[in-house]
This record gives sequence, C-alpha cells and structure tokens, in this order.
Amino acid sequence: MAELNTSLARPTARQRCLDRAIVLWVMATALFAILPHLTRMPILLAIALASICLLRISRWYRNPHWLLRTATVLCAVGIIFWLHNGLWGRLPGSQLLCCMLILKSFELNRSRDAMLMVSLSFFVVATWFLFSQSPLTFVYLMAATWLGLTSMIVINRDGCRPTEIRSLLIQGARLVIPAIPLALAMFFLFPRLSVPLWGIQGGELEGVTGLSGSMSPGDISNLFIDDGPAFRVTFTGSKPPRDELYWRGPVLSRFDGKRWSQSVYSSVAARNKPSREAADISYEVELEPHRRHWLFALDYPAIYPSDSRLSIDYQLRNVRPISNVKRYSISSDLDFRDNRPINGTLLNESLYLPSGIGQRARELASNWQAEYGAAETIVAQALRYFRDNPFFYRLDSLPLLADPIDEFLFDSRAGYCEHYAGAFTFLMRAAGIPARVVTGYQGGIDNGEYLLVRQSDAHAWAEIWLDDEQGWSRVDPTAWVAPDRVQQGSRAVVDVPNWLHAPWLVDVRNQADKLRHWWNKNIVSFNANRQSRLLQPLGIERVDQRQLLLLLIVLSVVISLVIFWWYRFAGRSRHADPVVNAYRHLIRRLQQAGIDPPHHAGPQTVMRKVISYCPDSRVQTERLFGRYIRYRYAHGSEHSLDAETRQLKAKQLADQLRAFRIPRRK
Amino acid sequence: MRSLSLSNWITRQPRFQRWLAARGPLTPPFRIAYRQVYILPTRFGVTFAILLVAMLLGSLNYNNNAALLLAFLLATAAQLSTFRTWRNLSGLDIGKLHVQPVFAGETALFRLNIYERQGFERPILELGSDAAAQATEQHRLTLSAGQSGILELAVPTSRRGWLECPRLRLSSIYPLGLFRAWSWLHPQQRCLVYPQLLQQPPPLPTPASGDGKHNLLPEPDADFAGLRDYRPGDHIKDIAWKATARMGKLISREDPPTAYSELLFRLSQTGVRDIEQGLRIVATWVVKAEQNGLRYGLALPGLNIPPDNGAAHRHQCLRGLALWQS
Repeated sequence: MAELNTSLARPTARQRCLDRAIVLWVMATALFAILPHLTRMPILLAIALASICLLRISRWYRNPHWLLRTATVLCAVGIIFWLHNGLWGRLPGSQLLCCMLILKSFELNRSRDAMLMVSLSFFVVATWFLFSQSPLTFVYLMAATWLGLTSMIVINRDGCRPTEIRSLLIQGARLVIPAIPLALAMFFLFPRLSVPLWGIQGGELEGVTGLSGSMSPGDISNLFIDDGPAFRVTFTGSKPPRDELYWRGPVLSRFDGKRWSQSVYSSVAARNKPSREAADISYEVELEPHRRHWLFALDYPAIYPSDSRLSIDYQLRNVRPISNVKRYSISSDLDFRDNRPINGTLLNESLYLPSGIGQRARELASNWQAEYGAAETIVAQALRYFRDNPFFYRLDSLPLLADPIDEFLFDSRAGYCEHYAGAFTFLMRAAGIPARVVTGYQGGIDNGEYLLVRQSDAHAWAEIWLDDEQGWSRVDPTAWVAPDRVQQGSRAVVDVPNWLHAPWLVDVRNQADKLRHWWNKNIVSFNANRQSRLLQPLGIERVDQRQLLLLLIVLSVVISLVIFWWYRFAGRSRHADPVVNAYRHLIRRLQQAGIDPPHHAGPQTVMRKVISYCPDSRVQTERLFGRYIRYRYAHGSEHSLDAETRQLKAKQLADQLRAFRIPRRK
Repeated sequence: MRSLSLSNWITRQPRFQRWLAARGPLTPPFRIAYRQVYILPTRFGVTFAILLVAMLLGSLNYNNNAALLLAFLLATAAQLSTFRTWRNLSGLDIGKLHVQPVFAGETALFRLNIYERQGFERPILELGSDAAAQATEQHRLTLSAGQSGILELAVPTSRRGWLECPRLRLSSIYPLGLFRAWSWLHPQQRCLVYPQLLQQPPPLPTPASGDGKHNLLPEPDADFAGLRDYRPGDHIKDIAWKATARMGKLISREDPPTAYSELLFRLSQTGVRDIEQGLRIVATWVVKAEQNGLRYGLALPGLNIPPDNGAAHRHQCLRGLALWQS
C-alpha cells in the first residue's frame, strides 16, 4: 500500500482557467446589461461592444497583451469624451461604464474576474433606470437579476453542462422569486430621503422628447410622430370642454427671424395672480419626466405646487428639472384675465420685429392697420385671411429657408401649428398689436378615469394684447385652418397609416397606458412624502421613519422565517421509486422518534434497532422490513410479474411503509 | 482558504474551543447539526455589499425607484442565499477519516467519507484546514441526493512520527459565492510518517558474521548464476523479473533466496553518526530489501524485529523506525 503513496504524484496547483460555459454565461449577462444602452450609442460603438462580446464567447481572444488592453481602454475613454465633450453626466457616465464592463472581458481568467463582471453588470443595469422607468424596464430588471444570479451560480459550480441549464435556471429563480416580497417590503418601508444628499444635475436633454424652451419650424412636428405620453390628468371636479384644454407650457416672446425663444423676463414672478377662491377647475397631473422645468397647467393656475414658481408670462416652472415622474395638484381659474398694463421693455419685446424678413407681411399688416384701426377687427381680418386663402395644415411641408414668414404666408401656405402661430404673431406685431407665441399641449384622449395627453398633442398658439380690459387673449390660428385639430386632436389632421387607427390597436395602446399610469402612480413616483402617508388606508395619518424601520424589521423577520422554512425542504430530490421515498420518510420519522439508526445502516440493521427499541413490535416490524428487503434486493421473483402487478405491489408497500406506526417504548 | 490571522487567533482560544465543543460533537463520525454550521460573508461578499450600498445611496438620492428596487432585490436574494448555503452543510453525515502511512517529505492524504441522506443536492463542498494544506483534485465535491463521496486533504510532511490531523473545515460558498458556510471537524486521527526515503542510499549491508547462518548475499540478478527457465508451478516471488526482462522469457531463481539472504539491519551498518540520517538509510534498505524479495529484520536498541518479508512485515519495520525513540 505504501507504493501507492509514493507513486501518487504530488498535487500541483494547476493554473486554473475558466470553464467555457462560465465565459458564455458571464458574457451573456454583460451583453444583456448593456443591451438597452446600445440603443442610445452611436451605431459603430454599439457594434464594436457587441462584437467584443461575441468574439470573447467564441474564444477569438484571451488575455491580450497589457499594452493592447491599456490602449483599448484609453481609446474607449477618448471616444466617449469626444462624443459628449466630457465624461461627467448621465449619458457619458453610463456609456463609459458599459465600455469598461465589456473591456473587462479582456482579463476574464479567474472566477474572481467573472464574479466582478457579473456584479458590474448589475450596476450597468441600474444606470439604465436613469433613462427609463417604464413597466417594461421592470420586466427587464427581473430578467437581468435572474440571469445574473444564475451566472453567479454557474461560476460557483465551476461551469455547467448543457443538460444542467434548466435546473440551474430553476435554482436562480428560487433565489429571485422568494426575494420579491422582501424586496417590496424594503422598497415601501426603507427610510427615504426627503432632501437629496448631493446635488442633482439638470439640463441634460439628450434623447428626451418634449417641448423645448424655444421653437423653430420642425420642432413640434417632430413630436407629432411620437406616441409617447406627455402627462395624464385626473380632474377632481368638473371637466372643462375640449376646446378649452390648452395646456400652457413655454411662452416665447423673442423672435430673431428664425427662432422663437423665451422672454428675458420669464424668470420674473407673476404680479397679479388669480385668486384661490375663483379657481374652480381642480386636477392632478402626472407628468412624465422631460428633464426641463415646466409644469403644464390650464390657464391660469391659482393653486400650484410649492416647489414651483409662476412667471410673469404665466409659465409654471418647477425648481428642479423634472427627472422623475412628477405628480402635482393644480387648480385653475379659466375666467381670469391678465390685464395688468404692460410697458417698457416688456412692451418693446412684444412688438419687436427682426429686420430683413417679412417685408410683404409687414405691408399687409400695415394696410390692415390703416384700414381697420381697432385691434379686434385686425385680428378678425387676419383670421379671415387664413381661412379665405388656400392654407393647408400639413406636416410634410417644405422647409422654409430664407424668409420663414413671407414664404409661408404668400408662397407655400402649407404648414402646421407652429407656422400658423409664428406667422400670426408676426402679423399682429407688424400691425402694432403686442403678441407672443405660447407652446404647450392641446386636448388629450379620455382614457376612462384620466385624460391622457401624448407628445403628439403638442401645440403652439398665439396670445395678443387687446386692451387694458381684456389683457392678453388667446388666439389659435390653427383652429381656423384645421378646426379638427382642436376638436378631435392631432390624429385627425395627421396622415398616419390606417392600421394604426384600428380600434383594437388603439384599445391596446390605451390599456397599456393605463398600466403605465398605475405603475407611475404607485411605484415610480413613490417618495418620502408618499411613504409617510403609507398607512393612511389603515387610519394612521402619518408615520415617522423610525416606526417604518421597526415595521420593516418585523416584516423582514417574518418573511425570512417563512422562506427559511420553505428552503429547508425545497429542492429535496425524490427518488423515482415511491417505495424508496416512503422508506426514507420512515427513516426520518424514526430519527425524530429517537430511534436513531446509524447513517450507514441498511434495512436489516434498522429493523434490529427498532425491535430492540420495542420488542413488542417484532412481528409487524419484521414483516414490513422483510417485504421491503425482498422488494429492493431480491429481484428474481419480481421479474416474473407483469409491469402492472409490480406497480400495484409497489404502491401497496409504499402505503404500508407510510402507515407504519412507530412503536412506543413501554 | 487561509483565513485571517485574527480569526486564527480567536479559534485558538480555549474559551472558543469550549464554546465550539458545546455545540455538538466534532469528531467523526457524526451528523452536522444545524447549530454547527457557521456562516460569514466571503471577501467577495464584502465587495458586493459595498457595490450594493453605492447603488442604494445613488438611487435614494435621486429617488430612482427602479434602481432602488434592483438594489433591494439583489440584497434580499443575497440574504436568502445564506439559507441555501447553510443547507448545503446542515444534516450532512460525516463518516470516518482514512489516511495511509507516508514517507516523510511526501504529502499525507486525509480522506474523509461524507454521506448525503437528506435528499438534497450538496453542490461544491470543500475540505480545508487552517494548517498549511495543499489543494488536490479532490478537495471539492458535489454530492447529489443520497450519494456518498470522499474528500481529500493533502498535508505535506517533513518529520517521521505521528502527524496529527489538523482541525478540518468543511465549507461551501454555493450558490452565490457571497457567503461561506462552514463546519469544524476535529478528527482524532493521525497519520504515520515513515522516515524519509533516500534517493541514493548506501548499498545493502552484507550480512553480519556470527549470526550462525550461512547468509552470503548474492547481488540479486547481477548475473545469471542460480537462474533457470520458468517452470509451471513456480511461485510468483521466485521469478527473477530483471532477468526476465533482459531475456525476453520467464526466468525463475534456482532456489528461493530466502535460505541464504537474511538481513538484519543495524544503525551501525549505515556508517553515519546522525541518528535521523541513519534511520532514513535503514528505511530505504527495508523498502529495497522488500522489493528484492529478501528476508530482513531490524536490530535497533529497543527494537528487535526478526527477519521476515511481506507487506505487513515491511509496515511493521517502517513503523518501528518511524516511532523509534520519539
């Protein structure tokens, strides 16, 4: 025997190299994590990252030279820097993280590297939620967690054979699914911050659709094709008629010949506000994040959130940019008139016309001024001009290059709301009437309990100053050209493929939005404020965070205990033979009863132990164990029986084993 | 697997040992009770926790609820994985520990039998120890339900005598590798370490005169004297293997060599003053003599083993040498 020892080669610490299956799982996890980010990357970068993943899986490279590795990392940093003019911020930061994650695959040699890559993948998944928190991302979250945890299992198992994939995925699910209730408890009860610990940056506008603070032809029409929700409104009382649903957004007073932009006074607070008592239309708005400051409201808001300001031209601006779904309550007074006299710079700004453009329009307007005099008549004449001449409401009109005003008014005569609002405002100013452009949304779709306003409902109209009594008044020239736009919504005037109008599809879209609404209301906009009112349904007005924490601890312990109890038995593999299962069950019962058969004992020994424990039970014990031993170990006699009889006998024996009463010691 | 020095210090404290012993038997065979499974985060688990805290702080600050949900989901999944890790060990039956004698300088292989009888799969069990131990192919093992298996721990040896089995640690980090559950085993088992074998020992001594026997030693297989063709019925020990290899046919010894090759090894025959070195030489002679099919014995102070041969005799001689005056 000693020869055996001498001949046994001394075990060497073999250079461990990762199993191929591990590489596959880890790279799949990483790829899944960067997948949504890829959609926002420049196409070449996305292709490069995806192909590095695929090449690593197919073992085209392993451990490149460190010089190459460093060069690639520097190259990635350079590309990101060049794309975004910096590395700081949401988009460059997340893209850099994606690159680093994928480049980590250059050194994927030990299980430690693999584990690190999986954890980084989780982090990359988390950064995606800075961009989107729709219900679909929740599905993505669950899938990514499942995949990641299963990868960790595979790593700790030193790989996996193709036949094991199913069982490993089940094991991964056994980790994720029980974690959900506990995670939800933590989600709702874990103390939230009511004030952020560090600053929140705003002003990153990439890839978010919505109204901007300025308007040039094409801005709003781009929104028409966007079916995404802008906000949802739930009216608490009466609902105004549809043609009153002008959701006021950015107000644009300055015009440079091409672009309308905000007044220099837009940060000055409103001087005369509608009284709270007169505000008769109350509603709650759930605003999708648009990364800018505006809140949308009906004219004119009287009661609005405390963290927002009402400017002199009645723009409602939040203090911080809207980076998450925001819910706010507003009351508006539809009959209020902003008739405080304007003068000085404000007046000049509302009358200013850039030089060099719109000569024909100026002539037309000064003719009207000379002919009619009164402001109301001029307005009526202008609207009549739009109606009587062949103007068309079209999205695909030609771009107006040299002189957007004259070309539109006298040549092309085809455009959409921003053309009409812009040209109308220009005409009014030329006729000596102070005027400005207001952008926002118009209308909305009634979706049961709430009104859904989509991005495609974006609209632009004009406001003119008539006299000291009436003040600023809204005029919507588009309504004169395409009344359907205001009466039925943007869909009525936009040419979309017919199948998009199919009732079932519209229904599906509306149902999907209802889900999204519910999701936003209960999950995405949950915050410290909502948390303190969590127990209101139970009659507790406010809970402080200490109580919540206590509740969380109690709940966690209870849920953990339940899951622990389940874990003790989950995954217990059952023998294919019911008789063996029944026998094992009997052994466990014997152990519980204190007859502890040695763990290596066969049925003979167990039988003797039972009999010595309680000699009275000798006859029945011997009979039962005898049958079991014959069943398990004497194969000859059983083979003569046909399958059905054998099955029947097995079932009888299993029943007997389960029914066996463990004798009590006298 | 080598743990931190602080934990080493703690585990050596008598109070800790008593506390450990109070939680159940540590000497195999026994069944690991639920109180005997300990669990702590691994180093990677700490890294993962730091990552989760970063994710948590970021998402709390921006009130990003989806990221928060992800952080909580991962944290709870990690926490629940402790149950699974714990269950990998709890209820496992620890069988006997086996070890074969080795020569000093070789590694002693402690082989532990473990039995799964609870109907669970026990993935990736690992056997380790605080003492310097080498990794072998078999220090990790997956047991499927109802299976039994053997785990090995290789401990390098340097001195002859008894090698106490170090305290063993049966551990598992499955499934996520964030926590390590372990159980202590304290087997009262020791490995016999024979004196080291020498690569180039002095030649076997010629039999001492005055033993009263005619035991002139022919150098075995040096020439073909005393050899003849194999005849059916010759004992396998009588076959001269070296000559067989050279001739290409079976060659037997004319007479069994036992009659005239009885050797009695003495320390004085080794010609070295260092006792340990002398013991090594004698041990090497024993192995050689056994290989050559000679009859040999030992005559050391306090240790007299009459000449004989065979595996048991060899072991008796080597054991005597291993434990001589120690």
